[in-house]
Parts: sequence; structure tokens; C-alpha cells
Amino acid sequence: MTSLSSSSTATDPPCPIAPLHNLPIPPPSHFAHLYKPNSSGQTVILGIEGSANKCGVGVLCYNPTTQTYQTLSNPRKTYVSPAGCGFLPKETAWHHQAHVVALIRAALSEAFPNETHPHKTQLSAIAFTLGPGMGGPLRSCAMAARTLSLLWKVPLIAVNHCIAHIEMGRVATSASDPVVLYVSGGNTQVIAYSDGRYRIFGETIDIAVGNCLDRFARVVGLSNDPSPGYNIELEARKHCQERPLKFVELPYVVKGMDVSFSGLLTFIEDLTKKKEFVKNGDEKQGEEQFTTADLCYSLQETIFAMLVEITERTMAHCGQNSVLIVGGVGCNKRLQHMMADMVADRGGTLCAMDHRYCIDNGAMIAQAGMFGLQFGSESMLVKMEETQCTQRFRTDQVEVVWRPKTRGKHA
Amino acid sequence: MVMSSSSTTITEPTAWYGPPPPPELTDNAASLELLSQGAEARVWLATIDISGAISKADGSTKSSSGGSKRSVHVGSGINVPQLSSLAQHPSPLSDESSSSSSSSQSVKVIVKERFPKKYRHPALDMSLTKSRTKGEARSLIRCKRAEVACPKVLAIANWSNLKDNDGNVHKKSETTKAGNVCTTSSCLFIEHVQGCTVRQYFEQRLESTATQDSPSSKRQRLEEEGDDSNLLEFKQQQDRVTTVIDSHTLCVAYNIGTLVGKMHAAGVVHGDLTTSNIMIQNPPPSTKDITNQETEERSWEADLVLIDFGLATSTNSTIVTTAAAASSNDASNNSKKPHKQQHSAEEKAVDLYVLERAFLSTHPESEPLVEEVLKGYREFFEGMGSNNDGCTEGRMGMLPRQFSIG
Ligand SMILES: Nc1ncnc2c1ncn2[C@@H]1O[C@H](COP(=O)(O)OP(=O)(O)O)[C@@H](O)[C@H]1O
Ligand SMILES: [Mg+2]
Repeated sequence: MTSLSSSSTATDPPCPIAPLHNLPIPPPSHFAHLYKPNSSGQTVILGIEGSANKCGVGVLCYNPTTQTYQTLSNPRKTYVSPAGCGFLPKETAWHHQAHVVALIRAALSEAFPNETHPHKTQLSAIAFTLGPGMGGPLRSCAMAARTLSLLWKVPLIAVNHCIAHIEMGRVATSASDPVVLYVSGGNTQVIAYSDGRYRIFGETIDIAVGNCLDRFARVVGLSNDPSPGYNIELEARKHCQERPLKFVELPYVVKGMDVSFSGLLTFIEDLTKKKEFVKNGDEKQGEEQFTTADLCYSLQETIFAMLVEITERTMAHCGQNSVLIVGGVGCNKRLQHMMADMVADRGGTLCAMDHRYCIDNGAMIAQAGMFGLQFGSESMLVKMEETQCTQRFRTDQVEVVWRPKTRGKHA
Repeated sequence: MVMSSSSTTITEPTAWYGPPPPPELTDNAASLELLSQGAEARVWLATIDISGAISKADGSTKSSSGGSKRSVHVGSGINVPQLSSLAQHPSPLSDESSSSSSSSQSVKVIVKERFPKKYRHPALDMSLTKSRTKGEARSLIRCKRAEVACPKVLAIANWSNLKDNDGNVHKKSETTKAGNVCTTSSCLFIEHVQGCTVRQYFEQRLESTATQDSPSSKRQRLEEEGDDSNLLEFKQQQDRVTTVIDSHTLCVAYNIGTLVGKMHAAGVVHGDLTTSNIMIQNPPPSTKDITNQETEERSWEADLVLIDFGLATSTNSTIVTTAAAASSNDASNNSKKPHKQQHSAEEKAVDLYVLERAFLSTHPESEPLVEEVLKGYREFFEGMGSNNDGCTEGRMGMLPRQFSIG
């Protein structure tokens, strides 16, 4: 697309492709007739992700002799919107359309450098994101997946974006049954597995946490590069022992296991219109004044405390003691730190942060697709006419056929 | 038979996590036993020696000695005479226990301790800890006034600690250095309720639906045959147990409905109704003994007590009408004011819905019990001659989020 300047694509490094740890789930052999492994008996899946502003393509390989999953390649491009506005569906869709083919080429040649036609000899299936997410970007990537499936005659696997985060996280950290906090621009959920599904124990009743951060960043004029949330984190990090930032009390809304951010966002936006608000620290004269950094710090302290609290409630409720944070906001060091403090107090473990499941990418779509394929998930192994993308697609709609169906924890 | 984790009765925790309980608590109680540690609070059973303490009972508390208002706010310190005097108040709940405790010279009280959370900003932590303890007390007092069975509030205490940079805790009176952080523990002292939770009662009576094949041999056979799908299926089946449905459990369920109705009529929405948060003071004897007591069975009524008002909200007025309820619905509005005029029908429906989910997910095949709870709730409002805002009928449809939970 000519209308896209090169600066709109972020120059973020690709996801790491180190081998994954593995969960002890040997795939059942009798679904093998559904797909064809390559000549060395391995199952290789190409995963395509594009539900938000990142377009990613990953190649994942299952090796039956070692029973391990390995990411062979995982390139990605991020659409960065101009300062002061969020990414809109139309421009983001253009971005993905412009990059998806090159990404697929790059992913395949990186995964199989010595092969001229890896798509003919290696691929067992193509996995793509069915939802949830933004319609246009989703459809752009699904279109690529459909075309390749017809062209290369391999089955399609429709993947729920959230399930992909969770499964990549579980495989990468070997955490077999963690409580999952899924925090991104469009999602805020606390999830635990019970009785065949990933159940949502708590969630936001209005806007997502990433959305709240992004919108506030725009109000105070922080840049979108690399991401508005990261720039808020940098502001908040100005807090230190010698020069502590001011903590401004903000509305704290936890209702049972649910959270709400919209009232808080309105409140903090109003604060920036007050005469006590000064943009930079050097302008600060009196105690009653507060700066952008003060507000960023207070915002993070408040909303992350809410998230940690509902995660802890879910842990107590389900009797589980490991936590996995997935989604873009999961990269935030302060959130990681607060969660680690809470989990340590309870004698549990927090899974290490990793870009392979925190930031949207293609390999995680391939990982969830791999489970769906290996365990013969009827809802995921779709026919061509069932590949309509869906902007709303709840985590608990997916039947998790690859995990044992134990009754347990209340939902 | 292996039982799934949820069906094992709650084992007594042997150790706590978080900071040690405030010294004011450990120093003044003859014994302190941890009953449970949830996400937010630790619940202690404290035995307090009252021999010789009764005479000094009127210490320095800011006790409001009016008969109707039973809460007592204790400033920075609380001691044995104060606590024991509080526990001396006659209470409808513990008629027998109070008479026996006077002879044994010690009383049992429940202490719900909200301790500082390391992960939170100290200012935020302090304000949450205090306001939640106060909110729980407020709802309990409101229920008590409306004669809804719940533990009596005995006292609230807030203890401040100063933590220095090395993490050592000092009493507040000590010097305040820069960089030190002030943290607060809030304790709610409430009456001890005899008996067990409804959850424990139901779980003691679980019936297993065992298959003819013994579990271990069948599993072994499937594993040898390498039959993955059947093995998976089998793993799913072997945990099956069902909840006993008999006249006693149905009566418990019906009485739960009545009790919740009464609480809603009193202007309190519980926010966390589960079978762990309802206690039963007179659990009936187990199934085997029932035949001998067939005659008594009809007159038996479950003696239930609601606990854990940590997430409750209470309103100012008691009688709730449909018209006003419909108008106060905005979640973000409510967050700023502790008191609302009315609870909406939706909030009450959510209460019932949460209870239904708790029943079905904790007690397998307990659908008939849920129906009985709702029957008790409806009939309570019919008996009052008022409607229940259609909470019971619309309890699914009006909930956008839970709608799609499987
Ligand atoms: N007044 C009481 N009398 C006897 N036991 C109690 C009382 N209050 C609480 N408990 C016991 O402690 C447990 C936890 O108390 P609860 O108030 O529900 O705390 P949490 O908010 O952690 O769930 C209850 O399930 C019950 O077994
Ligand atoms: Mg409880």
C-alpha cells in the first residue's frame, strides 16, 4: 500500500525462537488420520495472527521422538498509529495486507533455509486467528490463510486468540495449570481451567486495561512508539527512593472478581484539566501540584493493584498457586513485580515473562492450532465455509479437548 | 476412590502467609487458631481468658453503651478486659455457649484480620483495608438489626505499623524516619458461630456413583491397551460424586432461600453468596441414623447463619420498590459513595445467580437444591406481601457477562 509510510511499522525485534519447554501431554495417536506429518514424522504448522495492530507469522514444529514443540521462526510487523490517535481498523487492515505475504515468505524460509518449496513438503496445517479482535485486520489475515489452504491443499485450523496466548504460555513455561491473567489493549480477564474449558472468573465490566492506559497516554500526549503503555511505564519509573512521586488517590473499583476502569479514566482525565496539574516535574512548585509522571505512577499503582487483587481472589477460590500473565500489558515490569510480591506471599510461583506469549505473534496461534489438530478438535478443524472471522469470541466458548475434563473449581 | 480437589473437605491450614498477626492480638488471646486464609483476610478463632477480667470490664474503650448499637470502636489498642466485656453481651446466637463459657472462664471470638498487602501502595492499602473492614461491620450490623441471622459485631481495631527500609516493623509511637512506610492491620471481632459451613455439611454426605469395574484395574487395562481416548474419558468419569438430596438437604436449601430473602429485604446485598459463607448450627445426623428419627424429621428446621460480608453493600432504606430500583444501576456511580438509596433488582439477581453458580460448581447435581433455594426466596417475599422484583425469574437473562459461561 503506497499510503503507508515506512515509519508506521515499528522496528520491534522478532519474537525469540528458542526451543520451548514442554508440557507432558503426549498427543493421542488416533487422530493422526486427520493430518499428514512431514517425511521425518514431524508435524509442522504455520500460524497467522492479525487481530490487532500486530501482524505475525510463525512456524511451529512438533517432534514425536522427543515429544517437544519448537518455534522455527516467528517474524512480525507492528502498525504504529500517528501520535495522538489510536490504531483504526481500516489503516491496520491495510498494514496487514501490505505485510502478510512477505511475512509468510520470511517465516518459511527462516524455518527451512535449505528447502526451495517447504510449503509442499513440510506443512501439516495452517492456523489462523478467528477472533476476537478487530474485524478488518482479522479478515485480512484470514483471507491469506484461506488462500494458502486452497493453494497448498492443507487443512485450516481456526484459533481463539486468547486460548493461543494461554497455550503458548503453558508450553513455554511448563506451567500445567496456572491461573491466567490476560491483559492487553482489548482484553482484561482472569482465567482458570475447569471442566473442559478455560473459565473466566473475573473480567472488566467496561473497558480493557490496555485501552485505559492508551487513552490516558494520549490525553497527556505521550508517544505511541513503541507503545503508549510502555511510555507510561517509563514516566512511572521516575519514582525512586530519593525523589518519590506523588500518589494521587483514584477510584478503585473491584466488584467481587470483576474490575471497572471507565470511572477511573474519566476521573484522571478530569485531573489533567485542573489548575494543580503541571506537565513536567521542573514546573512543580507546591505540594498540591501534580505532574504527568505523578499521574502515570498513580494510575499504574491503582489499576495494577486491582488486577493483582482479582488474580489473588481467583487463586484462593480455585486453590491454585501458580500465575501466568499473558497479553501486551503483561510486559509491564511494575505489574510483574506486584504480582510476584502477591504470589510470593502465598507461597506460589509466577511464570517468567516471555514475549512469545505476551506479545501477539504467529507461533502462539500455531501452538493452539497444534493442540486442536493433535486432539481432533471438531470446532477448530474448520471447513472453508466456517472460517468467517468473529470480533466477539469468548475464551470459554472453546472446548479445550486437549486437557482432561476434571470437575472442580467453581466458576 | 479419588475425589477431585473441590470435594475434599476444607483442611485446617497449619501455617499462614503474610506478616505475623499484630502483637496486640497474640498477646491478649489465650490461643489463636487459624481457621482460614482467603484472598483478603485471615480468620482466627481466638480463645480469650476472662477469669478475673470481668470486674475491670469498663476500660478505656469508646464503647457506645446503648443497647441497640453493639459495635464498639477501639482506638489503637485492645486488651483482654475490653474484649471479654464485649463477648459478655447476651446474644441470640449463642445462648448455650455463653452460659457454658461463664463457667469455663474463657470465651471464643472470631477475628477477621485484614493485613497489609506488600504489593499495594501503602496509602492505597491502608484506605482499602480500613474501608472494607468498616463496610463488613456495617452490613453485619444492618442485618442484625433486621434480625437476619449473622454473627454479632464485637469490635473493630486498626493497628498501624511502621516499616523501615529493612522491612522491620515498629510500633507507631517509635521514631518516624524518612522512607519509612506506614501500614495498617484491621481486625473485625465477631461472635463465634457453632457448627460447620453448609459446604462442609453437604460434602460430608457426598455419595459416590462408583462403576462396577474397580477404578485402578480399569485404568490399568486401558493403559495397557494404549487406548488414549477411553483413558481420557475414564479419567473424566472417575471423579463423579453426587450431592445427597433428601428431606434434610432440601430443608437446608429452602431455609437458605428464606434467609437470603430476609437479608435482601433488610437492604443488604451479600456479594459473595456461596455454601462456604453460610453456616449451619445444627447439622442433622448422617443418613444412616435417620430411620430412627423419622418422626422428628418433619419438625426439623435448619438453623442457618450468614457470614463473610466482605463484599456486601448495604442501602439506607429497608423497603425496596421496583420503580426506584430500576433507576440506580450505574456501576461507576456507585463506586464513590458507600451508601446507595436502593439496590436494583439486578444486584439482587446477581446475588442469587452467584449462589446458583456456587451450588452447581461445588456440589455436583445439586439442581433440585437450587430450585428449593429459589422457592424459599420467592415464598419469603410472598409471605411479606411484596414482590421480589422478578429476581428469581430473570436471574439468567439480565446478566450480560455470565450469559455465555458454559
Ligand atoms: N463467626 C464465625 N464463626 C465460626 N466460623 C467462622 C466465622 N466466621 C468465619 N468462620 C470460618 O472461617 C471461614 C472463612 O471466613 P470468611 O468470613 O468467609 O472469610 P473469607 O472472606 O476469607 O472467605 C468460614 O468459611 C468459616 O469456616
Ligand atoms: Mg468466605
